[in-house]
Amino acid sequence: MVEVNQKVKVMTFFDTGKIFPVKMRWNKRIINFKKLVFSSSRRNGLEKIHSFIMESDSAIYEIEFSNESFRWILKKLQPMDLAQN
Amino acid sequence: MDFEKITTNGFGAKLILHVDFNSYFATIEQQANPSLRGKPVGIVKAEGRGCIIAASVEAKKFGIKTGSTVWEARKLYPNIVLVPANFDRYADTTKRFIKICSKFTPYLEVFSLDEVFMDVTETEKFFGHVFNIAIEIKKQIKKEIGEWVTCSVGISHNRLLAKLASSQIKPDGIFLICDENKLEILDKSDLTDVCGLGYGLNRHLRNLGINNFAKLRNCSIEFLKRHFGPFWSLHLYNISRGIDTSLLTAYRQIPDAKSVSRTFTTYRDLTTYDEILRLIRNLGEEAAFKARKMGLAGRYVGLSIRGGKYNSAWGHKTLKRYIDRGDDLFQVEKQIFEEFNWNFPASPDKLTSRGGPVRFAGITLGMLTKKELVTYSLFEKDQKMEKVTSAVDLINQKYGYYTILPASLLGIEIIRPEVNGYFGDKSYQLKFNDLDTFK
Repeated sequence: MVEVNQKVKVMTFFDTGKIFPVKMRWNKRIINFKKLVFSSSRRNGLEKIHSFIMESDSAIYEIEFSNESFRWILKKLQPMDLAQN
Repeated sequence: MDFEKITTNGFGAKLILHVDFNSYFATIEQQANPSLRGKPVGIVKAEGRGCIIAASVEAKKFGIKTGSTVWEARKLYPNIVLVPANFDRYADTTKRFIKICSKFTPYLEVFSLDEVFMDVTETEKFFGHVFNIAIEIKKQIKKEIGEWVTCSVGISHNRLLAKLASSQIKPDGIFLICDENKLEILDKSDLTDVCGLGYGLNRHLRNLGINNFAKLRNCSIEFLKRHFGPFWSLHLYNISRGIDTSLLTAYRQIPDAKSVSRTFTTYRDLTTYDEILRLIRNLGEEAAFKARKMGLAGRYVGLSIRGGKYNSAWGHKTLKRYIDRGDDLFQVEKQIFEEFNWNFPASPDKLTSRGGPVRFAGITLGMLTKKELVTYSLFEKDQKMEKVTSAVDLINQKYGYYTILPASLLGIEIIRPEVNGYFGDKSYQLKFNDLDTFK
């Protein structure tokens, strides 16, 4: 996966204690997520960082949300043709 | 086989499940990165490390296993994909795994990062049948963790047989061992397939010509006592018959830790005293923090270091007072290290002198007791240091490990706390760290 580490805007659905990123705005593009591939969380002190690996039509994205800063960061991405090989 | 009997009423006193993830670390990485699925994957501690700490199901088909070196793995399959471990990810997945299993029974023992024992004797009736529990656990793992993640479930009436059962069908199996088939399964298993029969016992048995459970069963208790003593003879007698009376240590009943320790294999050789002392300081800081977080203090201090194959040293001291601070622990570790008379470069006389580059250190703080029972120091200096340590702990807990750190660790890459697969610090991880799912 390619490192990105940029701030992004994410539309998110909250339901029964879970978070589902729905779409993301990055570099003036809207990316619709098709599927949640994997999620996990970790702590840095009291800060909790939720990590989501999301699949769109063209790529797989790893995005993180911090409960301290309330920011979404696009950490990494992998184009779909590489993901499938 | 009469499936009607496979309930607590017809089965015996207990109904125990053993749930074991298949190739845990590798499967989680394959779930997180779909391009790895179906491929031989080896998990390494970090990039550049030379040892496979977990192999995927596909890699195992080529003979690659935990503990293989990268060199050995590449000989078996040159295109193996190496992935650095992400322990935060595995710890979080374990937390969710524990939550899933705890829906089926409160009597849950977390055996390791990827295995639990569940006593469903009292709760089976709420789910219809024990197989329903096994199937539902698998479904929930796929739903909550990921569709690529699988586990094997063993069902039996004690821990020994439940764990043996889960190893029968890998990956993604459900297997039952009951009175009708337990001897058949034992007899086709290797002696070391059973939990509780390790390398030492295995070697001793083989030296006596006993290389399977059928032969072990034919030994009288008197014969076993003669060769293994009163404790191990009974243990072996029972194992060979599938008898195990041990109880689950439920999640919330884990006793206080008796010791805390931290070990680390370095990325490169350490060739100066300062480097080794910094490593010891780093590891000791973590161990002391764990002790403090558990409200414990200890007075047994152990240190081991290792260089090449024939260069190792181990020592310990038992103090008259209890300690729980990193700097106090370091002073004792440093004394022990100085008593090793470790030489740089290594002396050519390996029999009388130890030395040379160091690749491994391990420290232990043991004989732990509750801090509240330890006599409080009347010295002002000690009381001041207690307050400083408490303040540092508060800051580090708020902003992250090593936000405040010893000055001797400035400018180096800090070795940070992580879970390990063997879960040696279970008491700390499950009760005091983020793995406590009920916080």
